[in-house]
Amino acid sequence: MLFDNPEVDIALLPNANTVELKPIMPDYKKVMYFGHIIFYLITFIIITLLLIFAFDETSEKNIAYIMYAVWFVLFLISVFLVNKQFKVKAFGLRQRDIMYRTGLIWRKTTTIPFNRIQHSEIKEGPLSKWFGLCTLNVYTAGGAQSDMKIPGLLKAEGVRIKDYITGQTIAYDEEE
Amino acid sequence: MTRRSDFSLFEPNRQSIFAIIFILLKFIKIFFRQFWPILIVFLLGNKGNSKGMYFLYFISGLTLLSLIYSLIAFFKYYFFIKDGNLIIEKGVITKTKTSIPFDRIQTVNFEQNFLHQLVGVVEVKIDTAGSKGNEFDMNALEKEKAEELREYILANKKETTVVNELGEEVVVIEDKQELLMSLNPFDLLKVGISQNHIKTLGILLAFVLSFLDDMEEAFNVDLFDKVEEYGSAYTSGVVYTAGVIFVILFFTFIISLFGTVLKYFNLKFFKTHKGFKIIAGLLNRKEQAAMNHKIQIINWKTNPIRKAFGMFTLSLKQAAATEIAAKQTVQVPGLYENQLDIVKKEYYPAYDELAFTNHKMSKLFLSRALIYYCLLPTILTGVISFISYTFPEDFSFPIWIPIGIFLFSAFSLYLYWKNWRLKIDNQALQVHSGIIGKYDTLLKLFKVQNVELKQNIYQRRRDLASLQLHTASGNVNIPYIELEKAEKLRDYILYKAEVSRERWM
Repeated sequence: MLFDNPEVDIALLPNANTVELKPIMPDYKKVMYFGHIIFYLITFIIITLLLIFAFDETSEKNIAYIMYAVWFVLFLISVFLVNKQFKVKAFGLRQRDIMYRTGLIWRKTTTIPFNRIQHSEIKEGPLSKWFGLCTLNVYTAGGAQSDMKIPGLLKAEGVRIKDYITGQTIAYDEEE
Repeated sequence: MTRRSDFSLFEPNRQSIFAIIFILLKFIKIFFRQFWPILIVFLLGNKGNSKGMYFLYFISGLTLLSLIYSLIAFFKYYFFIKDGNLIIEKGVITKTKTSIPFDRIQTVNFEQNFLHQLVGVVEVKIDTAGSKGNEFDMNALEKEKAEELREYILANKKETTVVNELGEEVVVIEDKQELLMSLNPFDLLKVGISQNHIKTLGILLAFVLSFLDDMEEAFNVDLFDKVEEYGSAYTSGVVYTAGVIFVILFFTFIISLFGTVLKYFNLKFFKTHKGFKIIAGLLNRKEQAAMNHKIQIINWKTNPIRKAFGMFTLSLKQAAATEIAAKQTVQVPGLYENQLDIVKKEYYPAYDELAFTNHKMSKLFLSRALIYYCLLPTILTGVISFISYTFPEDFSFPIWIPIGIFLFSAFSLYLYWKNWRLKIDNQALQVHSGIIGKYDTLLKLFKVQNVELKQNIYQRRRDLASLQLHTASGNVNIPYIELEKAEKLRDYILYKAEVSRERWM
């Protein structure tokens, strides 16, 4: 029992858990791969530069080789996990709120009621744009930490959701 | 309200003539803050030197310039009210005209330092909704004028304008305020004694170190060595160490006490018709207001000493952009339980601690936290200690360190887990925690902006979850409760937020 004096039957409330969450576009996986590749390329270059210019003694060179090994293992893990990470990312629209789930190890499901949304916007990164994708950002007054960012949406779908949210938010304001 | 015949809010007004002094002082303050090490070097390092004369010219020139600047700034500054906007015109070189709609004004606060009090003026600070930089400042305004301005602005924000029988708009000014508490000198002393001295110690050490560092740079000598030298020359090791510790603790205590008096002298905490108001301070009297509908979360805390005095520290957290959130928190120290109850009832009229249903954190939190924050550090330090006993000549790492870590960590984790409570009723929730002190947070459910349900791998296996509730003034965390409970709570909070028609900000 959550508490003793409910004003509605909690069992009858819409259960956010039963909402069928919709996965984001598979093309977004490529964006994720590309992000990893850029990151690992840069770290590879840094280690190599260290090895060539900074590390002179054998003991130091050994450190660089260990760094390569660690780098390689992390790289493999990251690439291997992209698919799994991708599968977790999913969103859902309900009558009065929007949900987004992300995080493979630390899973996080965020729900924002429409009547708490300050504004929302569509962002297109250069790479996402290439694949015709966009990111939907939803802002509340809860501070930067609590903003919702749903990546990997088709441009048209992102705009549609944004318009829907805006419409819902206005509907709330007018009711008041 | 009686209006002075020579003063009208609707025509361009200058600030009080004393504003010139305050603009000038501000200027000098900024200058000193930037250049004080250089000034000290100049004053001490170049006595009788011709450079000293140049320096004097430089200072005089600068003073003259700032004086001219202050004069122009004063004479170019106008404020007045037009069509529900506060209009401020200013600018020494480029002229700016700002109009602030009343509805966007969040708070109008007054500050008075010693000098302000002496000449009977206040510094007016106007905060608007939105991010950083959206603040307006009047350096000095006569107190009556400032009050008139504030009353007019606050009364004319949309909701309080009322139309009378004749069809004309009249301003309803409910100037009723009720004194909830005032700190008498004895209570002030209690607050001072029960301050967080460890925090003061940290600040004190940081300050002393950075000061020594600055001085070293300025004089090019190693002061740390000097201090050591003097110390060891006059006393033996143990006495010296004990003496230093005693002096540091004594100063910490005195500074805490002094800081408390400066900040909270003659504190007055009022209930106004729309919220709360606090005025406090010795040299710098600060006034802060919290509007009821803008308060998102209230929390109250106490430490063992303050608990013994029966006192709590209350924080009223108001909605604000993150950058100025800390400023928008109204903090009241030394509140007694019955006074605290009034505030709780004001925030949440149906507040009744007995009506809340209590929930504990899962036992699995404790076992997991013990592994990570107790066993792991203990084993690590234990191994180091073992090695140090095997090679006693290389280094020493006594066995009492791992034992101490184990006892301290196990004990505090256990107390944290044991004392933690989530209390819920149909409109609000309260999170209670504390290892030796007490820390309570009260949140009306409809104030929530955004609900996050979090699960790490371990929690997913054990059907547990953590909830993070975001509000417009900070988060409330509920760690390690049963998944089913977390989901139900989330659904219920969302329901409360979504059907609510109440103003959350």
